[in-house]
Amino acid sequence: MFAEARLSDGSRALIWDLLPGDREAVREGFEKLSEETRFHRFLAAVPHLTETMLDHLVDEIDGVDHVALALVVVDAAGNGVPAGVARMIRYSDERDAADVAVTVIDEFQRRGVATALLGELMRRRPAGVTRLVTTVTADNAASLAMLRRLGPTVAEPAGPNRLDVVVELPDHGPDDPESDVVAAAGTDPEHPSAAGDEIL
Amino acid sequence: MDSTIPTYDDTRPGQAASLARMFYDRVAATPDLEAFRYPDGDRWRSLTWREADQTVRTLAAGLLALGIRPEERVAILSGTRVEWLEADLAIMCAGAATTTVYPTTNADDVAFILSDSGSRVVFAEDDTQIAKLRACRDRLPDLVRVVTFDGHADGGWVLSLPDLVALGARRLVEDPAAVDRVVAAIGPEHLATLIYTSGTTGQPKGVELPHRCWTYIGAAADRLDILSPEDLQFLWLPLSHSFGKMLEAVQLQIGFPTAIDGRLERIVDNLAVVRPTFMAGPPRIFEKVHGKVVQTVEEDGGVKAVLFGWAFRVGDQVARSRAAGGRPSRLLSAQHAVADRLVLSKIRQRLGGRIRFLVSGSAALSPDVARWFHAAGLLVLEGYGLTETSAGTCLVLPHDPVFGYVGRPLADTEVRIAADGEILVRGPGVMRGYHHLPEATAEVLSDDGWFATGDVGELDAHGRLRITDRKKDLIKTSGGKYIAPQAIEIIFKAVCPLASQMIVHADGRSYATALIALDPDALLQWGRAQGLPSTDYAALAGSTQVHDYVQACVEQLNARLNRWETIKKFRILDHDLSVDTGELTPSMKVRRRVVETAYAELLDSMYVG
Repeated sequence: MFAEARLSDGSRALIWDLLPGDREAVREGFEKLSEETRFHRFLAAVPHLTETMLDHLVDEIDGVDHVALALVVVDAAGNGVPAGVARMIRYSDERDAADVAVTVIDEFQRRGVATALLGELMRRRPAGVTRLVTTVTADNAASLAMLRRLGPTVAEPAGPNRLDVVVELPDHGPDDPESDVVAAAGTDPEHPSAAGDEIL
Repeated sequence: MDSTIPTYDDTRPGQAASLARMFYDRVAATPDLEAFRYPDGDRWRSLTWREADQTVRTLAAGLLALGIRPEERVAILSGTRVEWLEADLAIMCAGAATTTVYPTTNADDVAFILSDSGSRVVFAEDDTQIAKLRACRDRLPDLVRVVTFDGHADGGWVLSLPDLVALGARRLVEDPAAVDRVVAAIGPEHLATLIYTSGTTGQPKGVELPHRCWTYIGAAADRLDILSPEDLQFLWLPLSHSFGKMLEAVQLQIGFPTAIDGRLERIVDNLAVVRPTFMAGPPRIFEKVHGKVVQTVEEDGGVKAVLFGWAFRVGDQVARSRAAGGRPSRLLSAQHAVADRLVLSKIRQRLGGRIRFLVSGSAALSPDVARWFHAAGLLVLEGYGLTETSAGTCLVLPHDPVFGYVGRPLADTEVRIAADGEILVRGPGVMRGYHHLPEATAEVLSDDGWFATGDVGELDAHGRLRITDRKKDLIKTSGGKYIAPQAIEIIFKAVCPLASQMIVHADGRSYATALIALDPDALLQWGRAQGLPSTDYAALAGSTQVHDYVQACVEQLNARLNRWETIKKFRILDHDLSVDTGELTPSMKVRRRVVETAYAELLDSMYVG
């Protein structure tokens, strides 16, 4: 099962579930990230994914409380190139709240990958989740803009360069998958940084 | 305009075209007054402006003889001493630009800064610094000569200061107006200094500050009307920092003498001898004085401690009532006279007894410490500025002492708060950009001149700025030095295979420490390989074997860091950071504040004693 998306540069992309067999692909993809992208993902310096991290980030995906998607860009020859991963994980002590994380390999950033992934993730979100609760760096304007487009957002300082963010999600995800892709192209005048497809 | 801003006094010198011109003007205005005082063995010697001029002009001619051309970089790799100022002024008068390097900077970073800046000549303090330069000479193709203050010259690549003087003297005999012509040609937009500042990742960035930045700071400080030629400055802080350089510009403008000695261990003794009227420093120095006095009194205990506590309460009440514009009651005044005679005046005596005010800058000063000094009759004025704004943006003024604020902007500097709270600064003190980094420059400097500081703050109804937060992953020690925790954590994870997380802690502290969490798999595997009996995380993490191993890793890490970045102490946590404890979000993002709050006591324990 997969969804199709078109990125802001016109290229075609497929979004599908991340599976336990993707462990090595996730490990390798992480190695391609810049130091800054890795930092924005984990809010700590993480040179490599450890086995402990991979256990959690791949093996524990259950499609119920932990949904994870991968986006693959289809090149001219029809080959799929992994470009990003997004996941939503329900808090064990707050059933209506979930954490969210999106990672896009640097060379694919600013092309709407994260926005396309988030759009699909919203449609596939764990049942009963009405709020996103996460932390981002305060200097990550692109991520904040993306979160704000998902629903009413409150961001509160959580120490130097950290914001705790709560997004109230609308009852239904956006109906038109294209709407996200259009927003990713930066055409939305109210969100000038929408094109800054980044990491959160 | 607000009435508290001093009116402009027309008799004051205007803003000069360059720092070199400021120096020339100062020499011409007061040739026989004292310029600098410096230690020479057991005594202090003085230089008049005329004497300083002779040295500076000859050294400048020496640089010209070495082929230094306008705006080319000449570096200074030295601690704070009179030769630093002479070398800097000579570089200015040769039309060149000064690149500053801390003497504690490691050889790798020295090589990067010198090559990135394209430095042609380096003033190196001693043989230690020369050794660093020799070690990386092959990476420095632009560097034609080293001039050493105290080190051994080799007659070739390394010259002594007298060698440079000889070259300059000869040039001045051949062409007496050589330096004057160069100085006349320097304009306000010519590069004066290239000071390197660390970012959150990657290499340090060179901040390009043209002459107008420093001449502006000098003129703006003069207009505050808080210093006069009768003042005496004691200067000890690193001149490699923009804060030190700023004080140099202010001195040239106003003309007070400066006693200079950068040796930290001599500060207290020097203050007693020099008896300055003002001194600037990072918060750390004020914390040290405060801490030492309080500790001594607590150790003595008894009546003395009680008296001390009473005196400071009285001093605080008087200071507060005066700050509020009131006058203390007769009873309070009488008590204060006693408190002052018995206790408070003695604190002032420790600083020489003539201090009019102290200036704290380059990091946030604890309001409690500021209040303590104020109670003792010592006003600490807090300022705010970044290297990118020539160190001078805001300053608390003596007639409006507030604690926890950094005051109002200097004249002609604008401060604005962006929608997300970030402090934006515009004015003549703002840099022209980062050295050959147009993208990094564009990220922080808008087309209409607003510089985004990365600090978050608010302005009160009186236009006073308060710093509340920061938008970048940099930690600032109370010594005013930036530490980039990410860079340190990356190296640590590379040298320590057991590491899961390292939380570097140093914000507002005098040195850096770390909380370390270990990876459970790696820890178990290591324990087995070492033949340790336990398979329990907490037991292994608490074992001396693991501690010694991690200690060795931290030492390896420290060997690769600059001295101010080194991890002086660390604690190993009894579990890896986890989602269950809320230290990580479910997607494994580290919640730094949760960790620092949970381990506040453990962190504090590393700053005791």
